[in-house]
Amino acid sequence: MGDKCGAHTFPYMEIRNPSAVVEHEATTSKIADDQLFYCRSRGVSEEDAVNMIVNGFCKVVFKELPMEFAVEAQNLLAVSLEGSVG
Amino acid sequence: MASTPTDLDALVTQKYQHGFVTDVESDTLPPGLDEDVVRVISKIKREPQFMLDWRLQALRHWHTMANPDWAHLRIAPIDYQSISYYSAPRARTDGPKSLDEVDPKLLATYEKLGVPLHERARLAGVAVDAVFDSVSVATTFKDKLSRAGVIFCSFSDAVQNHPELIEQYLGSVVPYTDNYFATLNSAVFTDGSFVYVPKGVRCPMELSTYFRINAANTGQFERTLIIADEGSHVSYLEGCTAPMRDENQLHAAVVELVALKDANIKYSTVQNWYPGDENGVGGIYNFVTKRGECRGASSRISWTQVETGSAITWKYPSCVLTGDNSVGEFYSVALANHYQQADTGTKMIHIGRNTRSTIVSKGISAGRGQNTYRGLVKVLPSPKVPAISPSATPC
Repeated sequence: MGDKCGAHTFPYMEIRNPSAVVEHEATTSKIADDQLFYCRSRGVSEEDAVNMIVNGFCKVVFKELPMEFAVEAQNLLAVSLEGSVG
Repeated sequence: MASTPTDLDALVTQKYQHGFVTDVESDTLPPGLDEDVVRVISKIKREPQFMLDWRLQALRHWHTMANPDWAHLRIAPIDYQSISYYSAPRARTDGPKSLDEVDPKLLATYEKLGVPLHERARLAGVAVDAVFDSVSVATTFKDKLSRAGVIFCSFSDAVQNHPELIEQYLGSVVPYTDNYFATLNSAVFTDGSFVYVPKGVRCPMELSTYFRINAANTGQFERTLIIADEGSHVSYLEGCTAPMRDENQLHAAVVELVALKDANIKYSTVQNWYPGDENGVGGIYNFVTKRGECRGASSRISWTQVETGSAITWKYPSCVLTGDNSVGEFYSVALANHYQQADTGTKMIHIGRNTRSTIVSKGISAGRGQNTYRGLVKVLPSPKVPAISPSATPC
């Protein structure tokens, strides 16, 4: 989000076994303007839209957390991110 | 599509909500680090000889090491001699025996943070071993746990009451020679949590510790050791907030997990330490070594973390898959806003046969945040290793 931040990935893999199966995938993306525009055009505020997109993005991880923690984490993320859309 | 600058400014410059300092008298050692400091810490904690020897070995080893600089982080030099290595809330009697004896200000702090220490905790089914400035103040639900045979106490209590377990397992996953910060921790750690789940026991509740750094200039060095004996299950939660400070606070914790045959450990962290203000001033340095070993066959260790705080995060919860058919998992969300820097990821070391691991790492960068995923998947010769799918997806 924004143009002053950075995201980096350094995946190391050391495989010394011919029968091992290893997969890796990585993507880097910005929250797309058209996603935001879609939400905005349906009356969702920009902030809510960002929260929705971020939460959807993080859902795989949150569902691993115990229930009360997952809710807390979701709120925490929303609070920490408020207004960081540029 | 841009939002209005005023809204944006207001929200981005929002102050850290948990920024307050409780005024509790502390016994604090003068800043500095040498063998005497280590001896004093060990003496205050009335530790057996093997602990002191171990700490001193670690300190001597630490002097031969250099600050690591391979991470994608910019770290201001740390003056280790300007840190005070021990701080304890002044004991009124000989330590609180019930909640009534706990410093009311301390309780008020927990209240503000919404720690369910009283009745709410029991309703939520959570036992809280509250760590306040390195000394565990109140441990709840010991009875219920001890009926199940589960040991859940502060690290110092464990040293007093179960020295044989400590001697056997301490440093067996993260040896004192492991890395710069883990070695420092080994020399000066003051307290932490200890969990032992006996054979075949499914821990009756989620275990939870609330870490909190309070006195100014006191680096907090926590040590957590969780042992799950054969066929046992345990789920452990760690949540953190810290008060607002200008000084950079160093936090170098070590967490060790040991899963024996068929055991299952789930370790969840929600970390919300003070990340520094909007100009990148202050904030916690979080240099943590977390590692679990699936020592027995068919054991399983699962790390889940949500990292939103700290000025600098340096953290790689890892799994050493020694036992055959053991499983390691890592799920992470890391957020870097303002000037926050996060270099985090995991290591999965496959040693046993048919070991499996899954890594899901999500990074979110905003403001001037720098977010790095750094992971290692290492497969040693001999075992057969199916399906590993690490996926790092920063946005």
